[in-house]
Amino acid sequence: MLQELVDRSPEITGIVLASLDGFPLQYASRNTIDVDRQAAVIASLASLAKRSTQMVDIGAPEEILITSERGRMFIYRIEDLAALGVITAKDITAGMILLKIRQMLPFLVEELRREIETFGGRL
Amino acid sequence: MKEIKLVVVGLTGSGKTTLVKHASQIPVVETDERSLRDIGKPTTTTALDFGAVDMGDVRVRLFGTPGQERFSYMWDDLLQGADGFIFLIDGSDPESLEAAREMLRTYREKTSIPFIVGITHSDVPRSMTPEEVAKYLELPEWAVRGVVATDRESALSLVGYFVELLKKGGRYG
Ligand SMILES: Nc1nc2c(ncn2[C@@H]2O[C@H](COP(=O)(O)OP(=O)(O)OP(=O)(O)O)[C@@H](O)[C@H]2O)c(=O)[nH]1
Ligand SMILES: [Mg+2]
Repeated sequence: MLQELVDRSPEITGIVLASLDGFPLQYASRNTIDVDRQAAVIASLASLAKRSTQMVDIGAPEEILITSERGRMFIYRIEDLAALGVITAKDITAGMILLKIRQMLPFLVEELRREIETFGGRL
Repeated sequence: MKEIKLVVVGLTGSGKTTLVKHASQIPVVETDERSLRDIGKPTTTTALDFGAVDMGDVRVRLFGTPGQERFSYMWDDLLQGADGFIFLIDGSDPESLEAAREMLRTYREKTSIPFIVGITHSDVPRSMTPEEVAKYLELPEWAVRGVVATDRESALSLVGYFVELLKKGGRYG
């Protein structure tokens, strides 16, 4: 599913799906990435974002955006199941990624639940 | 008020988050998430713990680290500007001792700031004693203390002991 999204989205250079405790579950990327370490960092960021928005009482984060010199990274927490990191080009239309992810989400959640069962159904 | 920064380190399950929670006077920031793998407890720290406690004329800022190796990128960041670290070992789990010794060695290679070792689960029957662990780690006995991290008074006493040592300027290693 992630590969499909990368294939039909030229603005997306990579996607990493991580468990909330920082293991890589799936990924697709045009470039080589250190998926193990990236998954850990994505999980940390998703967790930190949740805590910091809780502290100022503005609800759960919908999207975390990091704008860098040559690109952007979007991070989404998928229920209490996983965190998704999407790496994109810099010049993308705002809201576009969120839209694409939202469309994919119900399918992803279903797949995730199945995948997580293979870890012993601890979620 | 003088401020000091202490970092709580150790293997997963050694009791870092528990210690920070029980020693802190302020609501703690913790980043525990449900663990996918069976690590003997339901959650694990994914970024850091943060708490603070005033001890006499010093404000102690306590930073807990994630114990699992994949989050080790946080270790160096959290050590930045630290005045000392508390290395925790689960005293009820002798099998973790060798891995703990390795991890302590890693930290001592990273930094030369003062540290003490806390033996958690001291309330559990047949737990290792601080003396035994000190011998195994080849540390002076005063550098290794038992603690019950789930108990506020005991958690505070460990932190307080270290703060007193730091005030005296005790360095070793
Ligand atoms: N009886 C007893 N239980 C303890 C003590 N210290 C910690 N525990 C328990 O041991 C477990 C330790 O968990 P954490 O505090 O989350 O361990 P951690 O070192 O933060 O682990 P990671 O975040 O995974 O690296 C918890 O279930 C605590 O309740 C102690 O001194 N006595
Ligand atoms: Mg912890």
